[in-house]
Parts: sequence; C-alpha cells; structure tokens
Amino acid sequence: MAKILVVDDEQNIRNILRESLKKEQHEIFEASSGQEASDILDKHAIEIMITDLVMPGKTGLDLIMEIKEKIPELSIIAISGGGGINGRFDYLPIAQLIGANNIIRKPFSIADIKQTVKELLAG
Amino acid sequence: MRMTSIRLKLLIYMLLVCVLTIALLVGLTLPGYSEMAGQDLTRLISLYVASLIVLIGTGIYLVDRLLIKPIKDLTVATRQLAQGNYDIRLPATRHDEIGVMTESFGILQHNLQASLQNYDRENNTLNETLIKLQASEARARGIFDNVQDGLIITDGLGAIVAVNPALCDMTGYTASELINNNVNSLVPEHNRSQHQRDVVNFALDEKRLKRPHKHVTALLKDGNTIPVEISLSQLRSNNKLLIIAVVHDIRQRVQAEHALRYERDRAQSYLDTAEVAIISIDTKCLITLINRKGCTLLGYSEGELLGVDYFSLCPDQSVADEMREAYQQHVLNNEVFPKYFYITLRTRAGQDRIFEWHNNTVKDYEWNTAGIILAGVDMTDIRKSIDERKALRERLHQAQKMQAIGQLSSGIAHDFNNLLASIMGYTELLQDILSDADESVAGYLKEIYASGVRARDLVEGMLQYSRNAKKIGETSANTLYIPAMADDLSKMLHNILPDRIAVSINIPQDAIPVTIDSINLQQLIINMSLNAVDAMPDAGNLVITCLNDFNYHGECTSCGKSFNGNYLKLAVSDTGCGIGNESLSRLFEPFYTTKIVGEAGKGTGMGLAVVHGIIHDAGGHIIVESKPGVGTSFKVYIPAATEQTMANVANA
Repeated sequence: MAKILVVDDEQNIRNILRESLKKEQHEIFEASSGQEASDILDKHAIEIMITDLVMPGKTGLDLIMEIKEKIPELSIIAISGGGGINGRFDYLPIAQLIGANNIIRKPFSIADIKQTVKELLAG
Repeated sequence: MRMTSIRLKLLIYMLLVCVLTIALLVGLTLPGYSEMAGQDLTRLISLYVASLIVLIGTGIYLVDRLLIKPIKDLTVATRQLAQGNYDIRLPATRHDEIGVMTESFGILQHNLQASLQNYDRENNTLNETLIKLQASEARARGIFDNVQDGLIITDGLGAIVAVNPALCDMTGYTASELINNNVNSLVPEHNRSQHQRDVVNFALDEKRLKRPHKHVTALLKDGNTIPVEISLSQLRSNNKLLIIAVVHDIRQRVQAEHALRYERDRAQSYLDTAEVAIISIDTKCLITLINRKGCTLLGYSEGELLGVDYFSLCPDQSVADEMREAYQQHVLNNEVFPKYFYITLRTRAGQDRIFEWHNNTVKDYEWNTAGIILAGVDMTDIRKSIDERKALRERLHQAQKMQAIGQLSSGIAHDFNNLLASIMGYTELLQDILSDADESVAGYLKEIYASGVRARDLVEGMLQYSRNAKKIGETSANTLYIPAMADDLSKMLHNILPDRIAVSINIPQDAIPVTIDSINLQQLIINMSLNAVDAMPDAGNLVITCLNDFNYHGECTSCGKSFNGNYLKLAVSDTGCGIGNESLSRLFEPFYTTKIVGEAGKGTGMGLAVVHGIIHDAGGHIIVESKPGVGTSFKVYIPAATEQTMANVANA
C-alpha cells in the first residue's frame, strides 16, 4: 500500500486510475493541475506520482522538473496522449530525460499501470 | 528421122521430064513413025504436047508447093514476129530443108518469147524495186521533212549537207542559208572551239565523244539562244562519212525543270523553316526525305539518314520491331497505323530522345500506300518537365497531405488519446467489476477495448507519420550495422507474428553499415511484416533478407523518383495474395487500405505510409514487386553509411 498522487486535468483519467489503484489497496490523491499537485506534494508524503504532461498552467514537465529537485526520491510515472506543443515534440521521452522513472503512453492499459506501480514500489 | 531433100525431089522430077522427052524423040525416029498418017501423027504430037504441059504444070506445082509457099509462110511469120506477135505457130510437118527452117524458126520464136518473158519478169521486179525505193525515199523524206525534232546532216568536218524544216523553224534560217555552211554557225561564239573539237572527235570515232546525247546551247538566226539536246550518229554513204544530229528543243523541259526545282526548293525551304522534324519513309521503312530540323534533332546529316531504316533509330529493339510490323501491316493490308504516337529515337551522340509524331499516309497514283510523312517534335525536355511537374505536384500533394495529417494528428492526438484512455480505462474497470457477468457482456466489453486499441494504433501511426514527415530533408546521423541486431529482430518478429507464418531471416555478416535510426528500422520491418501477414490469412512464408547493392539504379515505387548509389537492400517477401497494379500505385498513401476497415488488428491504412516516411527520411527508397496469387516483395534500399558518419559514430 502506497500513497499515490494522480495528476491529470481529465477527470475521467483520474477516476480510472483512482478506482484501479484503490483496488490494489493504495491511497490515492488527485490533482487536476500542476499547481494543485505541488500543493498536495508539499502536504503529503507521496511515494508515486502519476502525472499527465500536457495540462493547462503548470505542465507535467514543469511539475517533474520542480519536484525532482525538491523530492528526488519520488517515483514518477509520466503519462501522455502525445501531441505536444504545435505537435513538434513528443513529451514522453523528454519527461524521461528530466526525471520520470517510467513513461506510459495514453491510452494505457490498467494492467500496465498496476504492473509499473508494483515495480516502482518493489524498488 | 531422115528427111528427103528438095534437091532430090527436083532431080527426080527433072529425070522424069528428060525420060519423057527422050521417049518422044526416040518415038519420032522410029520406022513406024514415018509411016504414020497425018492424023495419027497429029494425035501423037498432041499426046506429046499434053504430056509436056502436064510435066510443066507438075513442075510449077512442085516448085510452088516445095519452095514458094513455105518461104512465103516463113516470111509472113517473120513479119509477125517482127511486129511483136510471139504467139504464131509454124507447124514443122516436113522433113526437108524447109521443114528444118520452119522448125528452127519455131525454136527461135520460142527462145525469143521465153527471153522476152524473162525480160518482162525482170523488168517487173526492177519496177517493183524501183517503186519500193521511191516509196522508201518518200517516207524517209517525209520523216526528214515532218519530224518534230530538227535534223542536220553534215560531213565529217561539220559542213551542213541537209537540214529539215523543223530545224529551220527552230533556228529561223532557211535550208539554203544553212546548207554548205559549217554547223558551228548554230553554236554560240564562246562554245564554237569546243564544239568543233567535238565534231572532229566524233567523226574520227563516235565512241570518243563521251556523251553523244548532250545538252548544248543553240544560236538562232535572231541572235537568241535556246537550250537543246542533241544526239549524234554516224552514217556512211558512198563511202563518205556523214554525221546526223538530232536536235531536240528542250526549252519547255528546261522551263519545267526550273519550275520543278523552284517548287522543290520552295517546298524544301518550307520544310527547313519548320520547327518540327519532318521525315518521309517509303514502304520499306526507309527514309526518303528529312528536313533540316530533323537532321538537327537527330544529329545526322541528310545524306547519312536518307535510305536508313527509320525504325532502326529506335534503341529499344522490341519497340522498333513492333512498330515496323504495324507499319508493314498498314502498307500491305491497309491496317490502321497510329496517327499519333511517341517513340524514343537515339541520336548520333547516343542520346535517347522522346519524339511525338503525327503522320499522314502517302498514296500513289493507284491509291496504294506509298509511305508516310511524319511530323515530329522532340518532347524529351517537355516530357521531363511534365514528369518533373507531375512529380513535384505529387510531392507537394503528399507533403500537404502529410502536413495535414501531422497537424491533425498532433492537434487531436492528445485529446483523442485521453478520450481513448477513458474509454479503455472504464472498459477495463467494467471488465473487472463484471467479471462474473454473462459471456455476452464480457464479449461486448472486450470489443469496446479492442476498438480502443485499434484507435490507439491509428493515432500512433498518424503521429509516427507526421513525425517522419517533419523530418524530411533533415539528415540522420545514425549509423546502423544490421547484422548485429539480427537476433533481436528475429525474436521480436517471432513474438509479434502469428504462428501460421514461417519466418526466415537471412542477414549476412558482410552487410554494409547503413544510415538509419534503429527504432525506425524496427518499425519499418514490423510494418512491412504485418502487411505481409495480412496478405497470408491462412499460412505462408515470410522471408527477410539483406544484400549489398552498389551503384544500384532504380525507380522508387513510393515516390516515383529515380535513384542510384550504394545501398543495403532489405527485402521483406511473402507468399501472400499479391497486390494488383491499381493498388500498387496507391500503396503508400496514408489511410489507403485494401483490408477490411474495422476488422480487429487490421486496416488503419497507415502502416506503409509510415514505411514511406521512415525510408525517405533516411534518404532511401523502396521498390515493390508483386504478382497476384504468388506473393509480394518489399525491397527497401537503405543508404550505405558514409565514411564520415561511421567516423562520427566511432568517435561518439
């Protein structure tokens, strides 16, 4: 059982991740933006953050760079539906470069998410 | 027969007269005579006188009968003979001199008559010959006088012996003005010395004059000159040499020739002015006419092309044979020959030029096909320009399409994938919650999830395509040695591909390093392999091979460009259903698919578009060979790594 923060501006994605991971007995926190996530991270000892990358305001990339400096031990799973700014870049490889432990492309399978979480917790 | 002569007859007669006279004289002297009475004496004397008279009468008769009458008859006959009556006949009934004379006369008359008849016959023959001769002379004279050409007869030195009226009409001279003058008087001053030499040479030996039929200029009485053609011949008359010259006025012919030459020159000037090649060929395909432009375009002189088989200029033997056969059928059987066609001809410099020809059939006076006239334009540059424009347009179209796909996919991918993530995520949650539900519910959820996977693949393909599209023109510095990744490749394919497909990978160790991103190469092989698998729904063989191909020259099936250079050829071949020609040309278009759209795992239409993007991004090309019902081979030509790129990799 771990404290997992799910960051996504899409409510449905948060719902799916929450419901899936709750079944695995994890404690789920939710944030709909980068700023909201930062606030939760300041208040809770989150072990794993699953974050979207393209979000209004503080993007997932901004969040990762910020948190990796503040909480280097935090495990981060970056998820993204692709696209990127003007479609020129794929954010997932970049997220990996700046500190994401794992990247999973949307649409993902819940099984993959669960497996990745399991592997991160196992160290 | 022995004849009794007149002399004998007269001798016998005279003997009888003498006997009678002697008998009278003897009687008178006899003794009884004196005793006779006067009366008896008178009676006896009377008897004597009567006998004498009879004898004299007989003598006269004999003379007349034997001499006078035959001579008289002969005289009459001679006179008639003298008068020309050769039909008289004197019967030779006697055997004396008169008979001989009469017979001789008859022979003489017969001989004379025979001679006369012979003379008459000879005379008749002579007359007939004379008549014929006169007729012949009249005909000759008639010909001489009436022939259309002028005739001059000269002696061996050129002195005119005779001229005909036609020559007089031609020259304006009368016959008397010309006869006895030298024929040089009819030759212009500047030609006379040569002409005199010609006359003498011809007189000495008619073979010496090389051209007995020659065109010369004749001087007329009025000082004008006309072109004439003369032909000379020798004639020997009474052992005297005569030269006969037939003089033909060729003014009309020369005028016609000038007109013809003028027309020909004018036509030639039209032909030469034309900015198209004009070629005429006969029934045997031989060039009979070519204008200046045609010579210029083909690089030959007119002389080099006349008589040459037109189709032999075509470098493609099979095309040449096909065209020649079609043309022969047109000539022989009046079968249709294309009025308009393209053909590639090889110039003298060895360049192959594409000509567009329009042609017209030429008919002879019997309306048989005598050949064709072709008017052609060198379309090589235009065709090249059209092809380039077409290729440019296609590339622009492709680029626009790729740009649109890129913008679309980039723009919607994020939101779309979020939506898909929701759909697929909730489906998974439902599957978890409803794990005990009946099979139909589980089946429906499975289908929803599978559709989500297909939608995800589609978006991913679009993203990959747009990413590659954006990279076109950029160079990739990744140098890859494919044999090193052969094992991984093999494992990957065996994991991905269904068991029904027998996979064979043959990558030789001497395969040259190439310039391509390894992930992209894997994606390329996977996409081509999946495409091959879809072409083999039941079972089949998939063979992946590599081969070094140096200085390769080919044409890309995907972009249509010609390419050449050093490549590693990566071939993915299947034994599937093959691809039709129509599909072949559209194979690499994004969203183009022949598969059933919506079928699980099939039909996004992006797989080969991604292959197109990856290989062209790497500076390579692709050639597809397919035979429906047999199989398809995708041959990807990956550029060989340059020494520089290999050095860069080594340094890194």
